[in-house]
Amino acid sequence: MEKLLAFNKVSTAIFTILTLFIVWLPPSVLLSADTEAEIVLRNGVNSIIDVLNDPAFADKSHKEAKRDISLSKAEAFFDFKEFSRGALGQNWRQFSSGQQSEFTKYFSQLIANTYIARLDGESLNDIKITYLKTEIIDATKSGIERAEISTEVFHNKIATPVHYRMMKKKGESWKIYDVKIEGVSLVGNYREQYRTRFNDPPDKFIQEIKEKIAQ
Amino acid sequence: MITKNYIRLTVAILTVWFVVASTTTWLFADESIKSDKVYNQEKDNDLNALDDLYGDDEYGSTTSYDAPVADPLYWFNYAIFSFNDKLYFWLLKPVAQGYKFITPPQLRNGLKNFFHNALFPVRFVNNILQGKGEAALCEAKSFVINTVGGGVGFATPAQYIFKIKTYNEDFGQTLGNYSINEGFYLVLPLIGPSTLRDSVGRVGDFFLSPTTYIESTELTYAVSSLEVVNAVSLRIGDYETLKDAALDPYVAFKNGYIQMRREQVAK
Repeated sequence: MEKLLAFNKVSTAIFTILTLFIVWLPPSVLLSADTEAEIVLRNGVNSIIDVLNDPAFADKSHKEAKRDISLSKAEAFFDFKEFSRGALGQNWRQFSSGQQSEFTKYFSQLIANTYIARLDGESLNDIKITYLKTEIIDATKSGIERAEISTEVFHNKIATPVHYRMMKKKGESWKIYDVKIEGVSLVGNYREQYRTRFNDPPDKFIQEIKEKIAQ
Repeated sequence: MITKNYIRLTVAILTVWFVVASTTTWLFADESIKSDKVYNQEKDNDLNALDDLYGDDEYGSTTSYDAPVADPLYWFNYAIFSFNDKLYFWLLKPVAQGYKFITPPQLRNGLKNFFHNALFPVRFVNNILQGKGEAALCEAKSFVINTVGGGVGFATPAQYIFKIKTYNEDFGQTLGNYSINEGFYLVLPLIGPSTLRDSVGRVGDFFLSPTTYIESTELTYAVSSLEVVNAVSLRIGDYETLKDAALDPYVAFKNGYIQMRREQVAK
C-alpha cells in the first residue's frame, strides 16, 4: 500500500514537471513554422472581424474609434513599415527615418480606411474564410523566413482568393508584408503608382496621403 | 454581311497592331531588364532587403510588378478610362442600384449562375486549347449537371453537392499560355482595362458565346445589358473602393488588371 502511494507521488511529480515544461516552452518549439504562421494569421484575422462586428461600434459616430482599434489589432500581425517600404520602392531611401515612420502611419491608415469603409454597413456574420494551404518559401539572403498562405473569402455569395505573404525576422513573430487579392498584390500595385515619381520630395508623398485620408 | 466584314476588318487591324506592339514591348522589356541590373548593383542595404523580400517571384529575376506593359495609346486610353468612370457613376451604378432594389438577391444570384453556365463553350474550348483535359472534363460535368439538375443553370448543384470546381479560361489566357505577351495596354469602351492580346481573345470568345447567336439584335442587347447590370448589382462598391484606395487610379487599375491576368495565365 505504501509502495503504491510512493509510486503515485512520483508519477504525479513527473507529470507536474512535464506539464510545467510544456507550458514553459515557447510555442515555436512545439509548432512547425507553417502552422505557426497560420495560427498568427487566423487569430489576427478573427480579432479584426470581432472588432468590425462589435455592436458597440455600429454607430457611424464611432467610425474613427473603430478604425483605430482595428488598426492597433492589425499592427500585431501586419508589418506596415515593410508595406510602406515595398510600396515606395526606390523612393524609400530619400525618406529620413522620421519621414519613414510618418509615411508608414498615414499609409496604414489609408489601407485601414478603405477596407473598413468597404465593409461598413455589411454584416460580417456570414463571412467564411477557408485556409487552403500554407507554403514555406525560401528564406531571404538576410535570413528572413517567409510563408505564403492561400485563403478563400466567401462573402455575399462571392468567393475571393486572398493570399497573405508573411515573414518572420529573427526574434520577432510572424507578420504579413503583402496581401494578394485575386492575384493582385497590394504592395505591388502601390509600387507601380509610385514608380515613376522619383523627382517628388518625401513631404509631397506624405501630404498626398494625408489629404487622401481627410477626403 | 456588313457585320461579317466589320469583324474581318477588326481582326485584321488587331493582328497588325499585335505584331507591331509585340516588337515595341520587347524593346521596352529589354530596357527594363537593363535598368534593373544597374539598380541591383547599387549597394543600398535597405533596397537589397527590399528586393530580398519582394524580389524572387515566380517571374524570375524581375518581379511581376516591375515588368511593365507598354502604353503607347496613353491619351486614348486615359480618355476611355475617364469615359468609363463617368459611365459607371452616372448610368451603370444608378441603374444597378434600382435593379438591386426591385430584384431579390436569390434571383440575381440565379441569373449570375445562369450566365456563367451559358458561357460554358468558352471555358470548355479554352481549357482544351491549353491542354487542360481534366479541367475541361470538370467544366463539361458541371454544365450537364447544372443545366439538367439546376434548372438551366440557375442553381449550381455541381458545385454545392458534387464539389466540382470551375475553371475560368478564355482565349486571352490561351494566347498567354502559348507565350504570346500582352502587346500593349488598351482600355475598351464599356468593358474597361484590357490588352491587345486580351482584346484579340475577346474576338475569339465572341464566337463561342451564345448571345452571338441570338437572331434578334434587340434581344442580344437586352440580354447583354441584363448580364452587365446583374453582375454590377452584385459588386456595387468594389470599383469605388479600389478607386478610393488609389493615389493614381489610372495606373492602379492598369497594374491591377495586368497582375490579375498574369496570375490567371500562370495557373
